Amino acid sequence: MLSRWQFAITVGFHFVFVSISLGMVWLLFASESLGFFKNAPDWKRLSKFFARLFIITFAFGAATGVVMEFQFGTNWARFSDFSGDVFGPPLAIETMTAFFLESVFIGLYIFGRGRVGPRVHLFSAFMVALGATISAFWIIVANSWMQTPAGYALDHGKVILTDFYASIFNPSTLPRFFHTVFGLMIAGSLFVAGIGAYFILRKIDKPVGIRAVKLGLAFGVICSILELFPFGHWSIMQVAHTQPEKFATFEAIEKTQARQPFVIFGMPITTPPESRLKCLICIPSLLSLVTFGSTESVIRGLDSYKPQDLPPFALTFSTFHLMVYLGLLFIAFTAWGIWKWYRSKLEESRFYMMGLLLFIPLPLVAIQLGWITAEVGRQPWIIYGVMRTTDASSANVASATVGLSLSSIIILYSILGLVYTGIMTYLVKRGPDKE
Amino acid sequence: MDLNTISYAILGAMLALYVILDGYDLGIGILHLFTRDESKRLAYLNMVGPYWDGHEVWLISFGGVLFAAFPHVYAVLVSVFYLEFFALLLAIILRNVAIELRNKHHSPLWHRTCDYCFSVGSLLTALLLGVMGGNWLLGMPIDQHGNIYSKTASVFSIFSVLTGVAGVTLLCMHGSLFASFKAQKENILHSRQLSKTSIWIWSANLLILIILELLLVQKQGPQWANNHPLLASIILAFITAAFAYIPFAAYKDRPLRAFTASSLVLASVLAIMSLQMFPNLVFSRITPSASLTGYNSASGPYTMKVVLVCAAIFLPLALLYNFYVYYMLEAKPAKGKPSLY
Repeated sequence: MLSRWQFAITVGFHFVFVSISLGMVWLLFASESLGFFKNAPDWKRLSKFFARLFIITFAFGAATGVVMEFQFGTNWARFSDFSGDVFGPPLAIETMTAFFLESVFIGLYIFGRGRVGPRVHLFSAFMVALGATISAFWIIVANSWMQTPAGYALDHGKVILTDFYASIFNPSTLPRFFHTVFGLMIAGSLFVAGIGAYFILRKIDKPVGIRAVKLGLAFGVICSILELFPFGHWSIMQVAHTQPEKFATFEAIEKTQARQPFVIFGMPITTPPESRLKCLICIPSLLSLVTFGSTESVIRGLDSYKPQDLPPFALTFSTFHLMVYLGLLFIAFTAWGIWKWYRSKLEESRFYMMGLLLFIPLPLVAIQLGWITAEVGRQPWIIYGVMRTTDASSANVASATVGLSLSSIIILYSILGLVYTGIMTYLVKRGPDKE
Repeated sequence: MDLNTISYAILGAMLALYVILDGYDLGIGILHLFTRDESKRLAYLNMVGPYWDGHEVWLISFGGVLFAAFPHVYAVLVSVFYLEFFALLLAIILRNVAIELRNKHHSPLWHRTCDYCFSVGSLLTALLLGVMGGNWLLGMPIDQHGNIYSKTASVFSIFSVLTGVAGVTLLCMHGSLFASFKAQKENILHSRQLSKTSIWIWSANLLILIILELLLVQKQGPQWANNHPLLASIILAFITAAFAYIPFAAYKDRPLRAFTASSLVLASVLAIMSLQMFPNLVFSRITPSASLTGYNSASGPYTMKVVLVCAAIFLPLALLYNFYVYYMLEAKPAKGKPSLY
């Protein structure tokens, strides 16, 4: 149990940095390109400033990411032993393809500014962005295999890889990859836009500020629309088809029946065996219609599964729905900003700028919620349908030892979190370099 | 040669590259605290700044490949060294964060704190790697059922503490030789002085290595040490020669040669260790037949093939762009000031 908490805390913490760095890496490349092709000093100053925030976030992300890799061995030895044959290759390939690319070129990107030619510089920015994205791909491959295992066989109580291609492109890899990356890009966009808004509000640097806001909004509106449709829809369809009990939990489907209602707003109640959901706003039959194309489609409900095979209801249901609400909010908010931009009223709207500033943490929250939805929704399995989480932890590590490592991690991570926010605030207040 | 042997060799090569590359920036990290002068410290940081991240990936990638090729070894090794690994991870985090944050805020107190974190983080990393290496050499207490008896106390034996110290001093020497080479090339620090420091550290190394050797002899050598006596003695002779050459080259102010020799020493020490250990990956010191070998703890041949094909394509590529970045940045060294930070 302690191992689970430790894993959840370390992943959650790591994921915050990943959201910011991976989320803004393509924006950074876009602004580097604008600076390069337009030869515009303001875009160059913007790139230089955000590159500084990026490298710090990246360093924190990389440092906390190493912990993740080794935890599979330290805390989840039985899982690693059982599934290493299939689960190991994506991790190994991730380090060999993506992590090298990213870490090597980031040195050239950051330290090469002014030392290497502009073309090499832009190239290095591209390689960093590419490395980051490939890295996300392989990690999602590994995680998706835990959601919808494929391309394997069981042999002597261990998993054996039989089809590499099928295991990489298991049913959930692609929808989850796009859904995750675009979610991260919403976070990166609103991060850049929010900091731009702060520059404008505090009159630190207006030319850089307005460019950051526009860049962030342009990326933000596109990503948040795409995030809902097609990627969010694709993702939930995958869950409906391949992990029906998870889907039933997400959508609070109590009974197996046709004409399932679509829950727009509901309140989970923890008094089984009574109805687990107090449905406040529902549209009859809609869920059957959007999922399987007809109001008469039958969807299996929670009642058709054994209770020990179901994920915890209240947590999964509420994180899923909160994530969806936040996603819709991002579309509305960024579209509103684009409307103001179109009417040329963006700069003077102090109210909207305040809003942008307050929106910085929201996508990070949405990402964490989405991740909880995906991983808690997979429970009680660590590998869906194959291995239970309770059978996966290390046998030879005492719980006191885990307690020690967990508490030192909590202390260190709290310090790191404080240092990170402190240094970010300091850098943002100082603003971009004047040239 | 079968697939398992090739994987074994690739893992060894990755570890050797890690020790050679990250080794010098760990060494510089430990040593840079001994200069008080701000501009000199910046010069040291500049030697590490753009590259440490790429270097560290060799260790991370080593972990990834070990996991994929020998999952059982990965599971055993990493969970037996649970606390050591956590300490190592914390040290690495401390060090990385300190390097990146140092020049983001300007106050002497902040700089000093970051310098200490960088130095202590590097020191702990080198020490823990050495300790784990020593324990790996001695073998683990694994019984015939595959159970492991491990207490933290047994992890810190005299032998492994000494290998930890040897890890620190070897990397310090390695780092100071590299610093001396860069200093000579860019004319920034006193290269001769650095070479002299390296000679002092070299003598300390000699002393520690002799004690370690004696301890090994006194334990009558671990039971595994009987592979390829001829090849082993050739490598041993080579190590001795390269090691003996270091102070001469350093004394004659030829730091690049000395650095190359020290890289060769590090690589061949790892080579001889793996050669003697082969095919064991984790040696059982109580029941040798229960040792985890490159055969009984490997993943299936299909996975092995997938990993090896990827390694054959991407590791040379990784080396290639490592060199590309060195080449691009070294064409125009940043003098004195840390570029851009």
